[in-house]
Amino acid sequence: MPEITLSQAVNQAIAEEMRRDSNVFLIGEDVAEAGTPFKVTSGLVEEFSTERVIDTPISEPGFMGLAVGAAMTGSRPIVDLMFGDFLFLVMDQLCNQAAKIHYMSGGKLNVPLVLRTNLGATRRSAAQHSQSLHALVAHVPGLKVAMPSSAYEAKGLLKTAIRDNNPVVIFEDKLMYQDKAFVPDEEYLLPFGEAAILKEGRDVTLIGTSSMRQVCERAAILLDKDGINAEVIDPRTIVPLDENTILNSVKKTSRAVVVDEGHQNFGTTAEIASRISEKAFYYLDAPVIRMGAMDVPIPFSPVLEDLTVPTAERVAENARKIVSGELVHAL
Amino acid sequence: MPYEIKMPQLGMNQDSATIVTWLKNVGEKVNKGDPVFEVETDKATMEVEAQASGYLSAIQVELGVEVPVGNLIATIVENKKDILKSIEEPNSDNKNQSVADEGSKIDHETITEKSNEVTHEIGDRSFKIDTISKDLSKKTGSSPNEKVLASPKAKVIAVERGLDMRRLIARGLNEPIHSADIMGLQSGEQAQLMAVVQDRLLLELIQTSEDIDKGNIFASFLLGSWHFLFPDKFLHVQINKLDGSVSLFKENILPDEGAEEVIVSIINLCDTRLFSYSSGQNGNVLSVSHSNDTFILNFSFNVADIKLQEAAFLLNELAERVEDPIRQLI
Amino acid sequence: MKKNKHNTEFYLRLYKQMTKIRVFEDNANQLYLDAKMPGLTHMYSGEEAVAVGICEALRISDKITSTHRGHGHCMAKGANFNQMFCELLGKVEGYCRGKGGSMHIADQANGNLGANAIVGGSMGIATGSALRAKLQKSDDVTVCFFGDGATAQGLMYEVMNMAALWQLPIIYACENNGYSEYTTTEEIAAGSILERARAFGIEAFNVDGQDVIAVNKLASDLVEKARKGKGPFFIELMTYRYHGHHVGDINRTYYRSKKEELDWKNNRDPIQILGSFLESEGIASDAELMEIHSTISREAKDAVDYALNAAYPDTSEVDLHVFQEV
Repeated sequence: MPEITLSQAVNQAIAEEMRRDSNVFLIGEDVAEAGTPFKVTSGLVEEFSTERVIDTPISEPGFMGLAVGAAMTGSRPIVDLMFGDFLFLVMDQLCNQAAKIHYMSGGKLNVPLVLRTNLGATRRSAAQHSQSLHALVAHVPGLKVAMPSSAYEAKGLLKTAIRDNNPVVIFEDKLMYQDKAFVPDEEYLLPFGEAAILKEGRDVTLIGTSSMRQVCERAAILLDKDGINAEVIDPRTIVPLDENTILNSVKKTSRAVVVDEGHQNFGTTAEIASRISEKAFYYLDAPVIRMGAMDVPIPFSPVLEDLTVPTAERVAENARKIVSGELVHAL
Repeated sequence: MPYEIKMPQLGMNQDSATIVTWLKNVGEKVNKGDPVFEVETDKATMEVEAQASGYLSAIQVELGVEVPVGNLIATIVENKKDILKSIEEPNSDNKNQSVADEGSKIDHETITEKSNEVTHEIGDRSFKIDTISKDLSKKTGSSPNEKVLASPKAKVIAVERGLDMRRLIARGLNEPIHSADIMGLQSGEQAQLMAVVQDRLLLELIQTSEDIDKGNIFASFLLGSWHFLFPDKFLHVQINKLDGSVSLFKENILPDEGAEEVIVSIINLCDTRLFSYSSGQNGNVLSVSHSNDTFILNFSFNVADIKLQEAAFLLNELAERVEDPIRQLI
Repeated sequence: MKKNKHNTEFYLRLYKQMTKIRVFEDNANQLYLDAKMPGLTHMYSGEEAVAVGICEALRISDKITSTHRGHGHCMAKGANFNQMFCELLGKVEGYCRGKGGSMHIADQANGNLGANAIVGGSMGIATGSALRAKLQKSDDVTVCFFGDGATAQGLMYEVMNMAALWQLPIIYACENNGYSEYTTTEEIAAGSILERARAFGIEAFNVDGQDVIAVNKLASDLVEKARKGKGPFFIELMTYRYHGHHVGDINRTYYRSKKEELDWKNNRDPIQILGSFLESEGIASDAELMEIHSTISREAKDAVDYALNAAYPDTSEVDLHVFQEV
């Protein structure tokens, strides 16, 4: 089993699917010869030519709209949105058009497109290149939202996304592009709506999406040293969300910390925490703790930026408190 | 067929409008496109045009009265002879409106009632939220307003084990209570008492009737002792058997709503070689065994239910009744 | 003009198609006024020559995207009365099973990718459809209908730029009815609308949108060129909407006069203009044209009755079609 980077995993997934299905094409800013700023799509244009690896002007709503129309008429476009922050530019085409067309047409039309973009702060890129906006699209019915947390997930989830007949937004953690993981030689797909239990535990459930998976795994190691046995879960997709795996874990541990890099207010952590409170209430032995990005625009200065994102130490601290019965929030 | 002028839909969120002026009179000639009347909605006043030509006839609504969209306002007839006078009575359709409102109110109430019945599942059991909150207030004997700060899981365990959270707090437990607080507490607060009693008189009494079950006799002696000592508290006696069967003693008295109650299980070991029968866990168990002309009364109990001193009085009273059954008859 | 059999039939078809749209809208308006139609709707009456002139230049496999004022485009691209009225009334037999309503009618079988309730919202979709045709090496053409108001949307410039760069087989058809909702076009559009397209090197034409034959002739010419990879093109069609921005926009003298409305209705009505031509050329008599109108009116009435009595969707459909289950 070879060990490859997340960037290579994405590249392989796109190439494999483009070889398999001639309806698949890649469109976005600087996806061809430049291979995007993160060099994720390098080399694809050599194999598939500029007809299927299409460089666009800097017109996000424009090429997003083109992809919707092409998808409605039989293509399976992969849209490359250079930064997740640019989602705000494509909201009408993505949320008013792509998300609703299947429903509005009574099931007659469908929009099989993938919007690839990224999330994650601490690259010192400041407020307009550091956001994690997955909750924004997860809120809109009709969009699926995948959040790979390693090269293995990135490849398997992207291939599933490309084959899905619905619009899928897939968020890659831009700090993880060079992180390596073992990926099978043979072809594999990862189903949507199936969370991964990365570590089993008995005392507290740590739920971490995308970039926060590693944070939770490190927190679990810290907790082990204190004799606290944490279970770590990566939901992999937040729409659809594998509620059962999360609820069953919390029913076992009676405690949960939900960690996600989106802003905490009205965010992914709030959604998961409230489902736990609603559906596993009588099993809870402590309040469910949310840990998202601070509710401030992401600042530039490293000393400030690092404060805004949950860390393993702070996740472990909160987990420790709820396991020992100490209060996280005043009564 | 006369053309029916109905109150038109004039805006996105408008259900009704009021006619403020008639621009044509009954009997007057109307051409398609002519403004016929002026209406006022919550947003604006506007003229409404005729959609047919003819003569205005049979105005159905009064000026200034709010008319629901779609209600008949007047008609336009083709021939002069068909013109009808106006009806100056309030539109009867308005009544339908209020009936519909009534209907929706009832629906709402039904829904509210239903929402009280949300059931939650824990493992393979399910119970209603209402049941749980009632049980809690019953066990604690407190009003629902006196909140006990405890985790949901701790509350569930308390209900399952019949624990009184308020008493736990009174005895020094800190809020918020977590499940570990209760579990730990219970295993440490189990106490035990033993009494040995001469068997002579009771055995004589039993031998007079072969049908009498020893377990039942001890159960009624226990009830008698209890009511003699604690007339304000209710005792439920359960008869446990070694085969695992459990039955409620038939002479139990049902408690008043909200009164404090205690459950004690009795197990008769007289025909065995056992001297005691207690798991060492929570619960109140009285085992009765027989050896060398004596009965041995072994009482394992939870101090959250019965204080040590109370239990000592209880067991002593019971022992005296066993030794001298006449006491039970008085 | 030469009066051969083919032209005769074609002109009569143009007349029937336009009449169908007018009759449909009259019935829709009445349903609205009678409060039998949920929500509201935007009438196409007055603009019939635009949709019919262009769609008669297209094949079934050619695509169109439509607007909030879209009934005319749907009918011109082949929609039928029953499913149209059913959709307007939210019935399960409607084009979208009652989930779209007036502003979202899509009829994929006839190449209609759907109306769009966001002004200018379908410009990306139409251009993407043309991109698909080019990628597939198909000679299908896409027509993007939009109003003068939509020329104020930035998306138009982004997609026209890409369509011109990549020579996509698309025709941007700007229905200039003089009003952007409740505001005159002069108040919202600086400079010339045609020059906007020309700035991207797109050939742009202006045509009388009330003259269905002129519209059709231009459209046919451009569609053939687009099929051969010479697109994109841009047409500005000068037209007029008889009703307000939407039904219920009846108090509109603050933005346009009744005199102006009457002038268009009496002197520039697309159906009357073609009717007079047909009569003067001896293709159809006044009585024959009246007969066409009454036949279509009867069909429409039957369809309205059908739709009024048709079933609503089962409530279990509310969460059906959020996603396509694979």
